[in-house]
Amino acid sequence: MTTIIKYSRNVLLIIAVQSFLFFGCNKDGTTPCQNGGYSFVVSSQYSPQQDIYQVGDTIYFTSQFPKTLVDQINNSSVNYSNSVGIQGDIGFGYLDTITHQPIAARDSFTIFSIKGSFSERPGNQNVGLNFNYFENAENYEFQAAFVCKKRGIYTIGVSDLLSEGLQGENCTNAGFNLSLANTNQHLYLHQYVLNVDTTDQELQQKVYDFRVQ
Amino acid sequence: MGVITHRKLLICTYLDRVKLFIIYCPNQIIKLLENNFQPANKNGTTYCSPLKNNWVFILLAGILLLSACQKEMKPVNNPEKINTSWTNVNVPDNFFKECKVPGVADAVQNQNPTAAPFNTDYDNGDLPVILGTQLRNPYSIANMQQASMRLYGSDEIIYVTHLYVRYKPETIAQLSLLVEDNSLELQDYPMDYEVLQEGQYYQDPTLENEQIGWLYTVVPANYVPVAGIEYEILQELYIPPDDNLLLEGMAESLAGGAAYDDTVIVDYRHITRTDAVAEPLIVPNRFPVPCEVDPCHSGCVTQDECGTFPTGNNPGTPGEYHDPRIPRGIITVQDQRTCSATNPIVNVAVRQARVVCKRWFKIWRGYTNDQGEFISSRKFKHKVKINVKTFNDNAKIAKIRGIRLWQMFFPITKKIGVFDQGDMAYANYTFRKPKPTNSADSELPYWVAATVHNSVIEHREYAEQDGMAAPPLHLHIILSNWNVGDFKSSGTTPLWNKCPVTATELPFIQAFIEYFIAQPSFVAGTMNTLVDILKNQTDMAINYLAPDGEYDCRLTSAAIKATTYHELSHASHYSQAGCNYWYTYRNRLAKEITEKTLNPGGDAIVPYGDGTETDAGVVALGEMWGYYMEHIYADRHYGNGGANGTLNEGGFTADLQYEWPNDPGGLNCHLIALENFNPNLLTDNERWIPKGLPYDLWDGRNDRNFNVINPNDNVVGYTIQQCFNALQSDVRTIPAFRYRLLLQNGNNQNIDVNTLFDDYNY
Repeated sequence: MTTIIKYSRNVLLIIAVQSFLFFGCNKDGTTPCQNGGYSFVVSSQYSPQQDIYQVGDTIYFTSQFPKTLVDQINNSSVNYSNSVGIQGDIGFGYLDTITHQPIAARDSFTIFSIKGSFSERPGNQNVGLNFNYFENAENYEFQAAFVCKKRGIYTIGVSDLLSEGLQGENCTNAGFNLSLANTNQHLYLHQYVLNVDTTDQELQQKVYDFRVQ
Repeated sequence: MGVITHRKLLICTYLDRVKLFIIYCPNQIIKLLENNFQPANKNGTTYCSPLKNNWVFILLAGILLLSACQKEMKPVNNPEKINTSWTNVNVPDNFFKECKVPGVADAVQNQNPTAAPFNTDYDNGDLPVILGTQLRNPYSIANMQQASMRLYGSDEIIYVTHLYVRYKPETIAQLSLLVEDNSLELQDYPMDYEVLQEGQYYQDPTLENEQIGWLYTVVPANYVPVAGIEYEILQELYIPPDDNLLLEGMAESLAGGAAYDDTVIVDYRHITRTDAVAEPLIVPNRFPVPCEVDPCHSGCVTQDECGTFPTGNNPGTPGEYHDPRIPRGIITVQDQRTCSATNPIVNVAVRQARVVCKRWFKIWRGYTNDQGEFISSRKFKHKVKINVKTFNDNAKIAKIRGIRLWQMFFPITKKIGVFDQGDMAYANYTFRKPKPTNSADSELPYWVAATVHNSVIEHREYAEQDGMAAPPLHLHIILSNWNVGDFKSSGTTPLWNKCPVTATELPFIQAFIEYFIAQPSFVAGTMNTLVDILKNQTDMAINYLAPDGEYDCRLTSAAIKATTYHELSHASHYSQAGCNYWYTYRNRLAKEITEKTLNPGGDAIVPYGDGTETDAGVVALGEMWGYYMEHIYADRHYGNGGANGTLNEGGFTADLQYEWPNDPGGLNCHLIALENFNPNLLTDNERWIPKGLPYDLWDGRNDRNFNVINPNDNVVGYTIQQCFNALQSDVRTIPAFRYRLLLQNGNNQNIDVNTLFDDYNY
């Protein structure tokens, strides 16, 4: 009896394992790989590009890239369609000239998504939001509008982007190096308020500063 | 010595006996005349053999004696010209019969076998040893006595020095006990058989696949066997303690069927091979005779005297004399930092690796030094087989297999060659990464093993530098190319050998093994058998499946080392936190994996979960430490990696959430990966593991000042040691870690520390 039970348990477990192995990659999901996947380079832009905005002005954040991308790891072209979701993190900071610190300032803006969507970030929610790209026939696209509500010196920073993978395909997770295409990010404001080195790579690639008055 | 023809040699040999007869048997000449003669020495070797009463023959012999063989006999006739302290005896060609050496196949074969495709090769690329016939043992007491008598006229020096024995462990525990015994050099096939095909394992035809086979070895005569394990003494041996190669050569020759006559003429013993044509060997007739064969005696430094030596790639000082009978060499491994042409592969020493030189029952075991050099303390005649094993007191590195699972207990063993005299003095070897290669390449695990082996040593050194506890000794590491594909080039550290599996863990361990080590399709029998083998015996697994099948660029030495440093840092954590912590840790992962196995469409997130589970804090702490140290030590080992280009040029990269290249003007990619870890990205299922936290506790950069989404990091200077010291057994959540860290460090920067932890959402 014991043998039969053990045998049955083993058979069930083996069947379950096979199911896991062969059906774990279901058509609606994906499993990322450690040390695997792709690395892409994409860009974004703030517009209109100016260092001073007025209260009530709208700043547009736009990022768009094709679904066929070049993987930076092996320099090969990849059709990255049907991602389970491409996400980044965007944050709003008030550059405090008294404490010389950035202070979470999402509440200084009214935030709309035009293409794609926002979701609450896990951490300090007054810092910002996670943003999610919209997939159309040709591109992945995200566009948002930030309406300035309060005066001050502000900074907006974004993270790189992350996708857990393509639907139904394991080990297709991807990191997207997101850089800013703006010709002027007004980083002198960072230097003025925080006295930091503006040649910092992260600052140059991810941050946009401006005044609201 | 001049060239002599076969016919002339026979005549000389015969006349030599005639001369001896005249010298040693003068009385017998008279008796000979009386045709009444029958003497023999105590060996039964007839020096003064009956001759026909033929005066014509004797006269003719006398004439020939004075002419034909005068040159050859000169040493005998002029003994005063021979240096009596002379210990160098040049053995004439063909004096010793060349015999088969056990364990060494005649032909070079199967040097680079490639495993069959997955799930058809349960041996994972290993080949079987195929035995031929049993060879006559030259080291047996009887044979050695005979050899000694032939050389020295005495067998007084022969006694039992060693025993040829075998064990038959019945259980995994017994097998483990023997394999761990540093005094035993075990082999799984008999040591006195011809080998038709060399391989990595032997299947005893009288046993089932999964039955543990006999293990053969040689032990000192006074050896006390391990109690409770079946044990047999197969033969008593005399292995000359002084490496008397002349005696060993004679013994081997006799065992191989050669026949000799010997004759003492004044101070010299003339030994003549009688079953084949060879010049006689002439040795001083002393006992014991220091008549060791030394083809290149002390002071001999030129090739003319020493014969031809291999040139090029020699260890040590150029031109340095190496005794041609002593195996020595340098063992290296290719170090591939990246696949970029700007970072060419270099060879680095394989440090502190076990080296075994073996011929018949004569074995030397030692280790390479930190420069990869080894030198045997024993001398060998020729055909010495040299193996390098990824094994020392730190760790034993083995490889997964799907059948004859008990073979996984043996460390990966690379035969670097079978060397003749001279060549053995320059037995260099480099573990190379095959190119192109793939997971089924049977050469690949050797390179991976050597890389992991070195990484273990490096990690211990780095840990000591940082005041972090070292991993436990005697780690059992298994390399796998058979794990679930989603966790490539990664590893696991369950420490089952250090913290034996409990009954409550058993229901979950199979799924754990399938995920991290081997899927069922690779196992010939049931997974239960594999579980039984691995549980309680495996501490760590390192997987060498390359992400995306990119073996050239993504299974680099740097990648393997980073993974190994990660896993070893878990082991360091265990050294401080203990088994109770580890039970909780590994069970958390095993349960998550089992849940996913039983319900593939469910919410389980393998292998770590989503951070909301009971005991998730243990995982958060453990993995935080693993990822932190992985990148810190990879950075320390390789520096800035020399990457000049972008990822697609094969630059030096690391990833946590994204793939990071080196910043040419700033941080190493590993530090960037830590520094840019974002705990606030919903998409990242592992965001709750604060992989960048310890680095932020140390570094002087406030990340928030550069990007508002980053943690507010005003903390500076918490060292690896300070962070590690807080990882105590009762510290099982990130907040507990924060409290302990502050408690142990006088609340140093407590406000900023709390802010930083808050920004990591703890």
